[in-house]
Amino acid sequence: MINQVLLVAYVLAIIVLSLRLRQGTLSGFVISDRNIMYPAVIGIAFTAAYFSAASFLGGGGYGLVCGFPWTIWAVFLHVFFACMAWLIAPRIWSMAKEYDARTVPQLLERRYKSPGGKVVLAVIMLIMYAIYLVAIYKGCAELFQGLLGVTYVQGLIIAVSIVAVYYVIGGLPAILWISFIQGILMLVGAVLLYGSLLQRGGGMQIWEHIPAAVTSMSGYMMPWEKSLGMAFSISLGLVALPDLLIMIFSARDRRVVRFAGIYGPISIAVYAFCIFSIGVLAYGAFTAEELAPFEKSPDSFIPFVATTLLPPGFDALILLAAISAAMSTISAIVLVTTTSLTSDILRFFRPAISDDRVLLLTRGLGVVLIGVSALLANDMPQGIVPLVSVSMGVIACCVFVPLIFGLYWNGGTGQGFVASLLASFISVVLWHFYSGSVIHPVFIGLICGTVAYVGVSLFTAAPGKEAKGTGHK
Amino acid sequence: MVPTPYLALIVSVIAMLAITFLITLRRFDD
Repeated sequence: MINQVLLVAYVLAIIVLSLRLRQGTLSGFVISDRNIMYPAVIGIAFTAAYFSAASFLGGGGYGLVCGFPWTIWAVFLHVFFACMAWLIAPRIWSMAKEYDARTVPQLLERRYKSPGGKVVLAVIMLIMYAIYLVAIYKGCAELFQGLLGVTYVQGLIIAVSIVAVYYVIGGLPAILWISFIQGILMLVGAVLLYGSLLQRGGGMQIWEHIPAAVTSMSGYMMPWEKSLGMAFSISLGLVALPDLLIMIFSARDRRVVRFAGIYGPISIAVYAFCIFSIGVLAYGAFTAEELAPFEKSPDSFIPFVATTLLPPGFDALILLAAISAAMSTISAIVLVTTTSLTSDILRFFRPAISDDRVLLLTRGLGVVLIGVSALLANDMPQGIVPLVSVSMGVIACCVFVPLIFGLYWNGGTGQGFVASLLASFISVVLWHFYSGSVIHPVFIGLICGTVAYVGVSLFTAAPGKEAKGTGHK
Repeated sequence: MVPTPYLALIVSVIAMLAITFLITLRRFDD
């Protein structure tokens, strides 16, 4: 009963907020007219949109299999990239404002004067985000199953309806404010889980019960290189994922972005530290027999901890936190994926189309995207499963190289931009499918993307002077 | 006893946050 009441209160709060934050213009819907004036909202919404249910459930349970290398590298790299992302955020905001960019492909198009590059990036985002969306929906539906005792399909329908309502009504302003609230729920959930494990293990005594093999930096059941590669590829997204960058675009001025840089890294540090430690701490709080079933399915470990260690009612809070993690990510991804289709690809082929029509299409196609990905999540095509794990890494690689060079180097050209996109995309996919190496595809994608970008830029720069375009202050 | 890598992690996380905040708060040019 308490679960149903919690869920109803949660949904009501979401609907009321969406209605209050409703926007009638394309700029309002897509980047909130650059009017968000609360650094805490942007900072914490950024964190919520970044961490999905996969991090909450998978990242939490993953330490069971990988041991200390996962905990140490995942926390370290998340905080490192979060700090880096927020230190360069004011420059990104200024560049977006100067070019009046509403989407990330548009920002890079104007930076490099390359409409073709914009379309290539938008197509890569469309494919990769759609694949990732299917995977998150699957997790979200399973969470509703756990929270409400409904079937998988019913869980899926509930998840789809809630996200569709606040996406269509509110756009980015609703996504930001709702993600802010969801982020706070996620932080409370993460701290509760960490605290409950410490308490069960006898405080600091917990470390005495954890086997040395689990705390060895050479890895437990997985080589440390694999944990490092995975942590790197996931956390790189903090600097370059378009669904996070649009949150920076939405700030009213540079000062708001600057101070969001306090809330963002702190919330990421607290969340990552609590969640990624759980798998290792579990060895000090539970017996080996209790943990054995979860070595095969680490995703179901967090719900087990919540129901075993927390008082009734609090376990529902944890599930709600996991659902929040999924929804905040889904909503931001639906927005950037749809705008890449309407604002970037459609506008490229039909430049005369009006803002009002693009807004209508962005709303409508968003719902279509939510519906189609939910249908695919209901019966996930086997072909896309191997791509899920690299989908975010591909997007992060493709955006990272032209974005960072575009901010700090004057020599980049439009051809260099397109070459880096293609090199990153093709090398990651090929390496992922054909190498079988312990080196993560994202490392390869970054190297190939950078070499292609710099090489082609130098080759195509006008003789006697550096390519046009300015580094940003 | 908290393992050394975990202690090192806590110290480095605090250091990274502190450096970021110092840079953030000292940017008076905006």
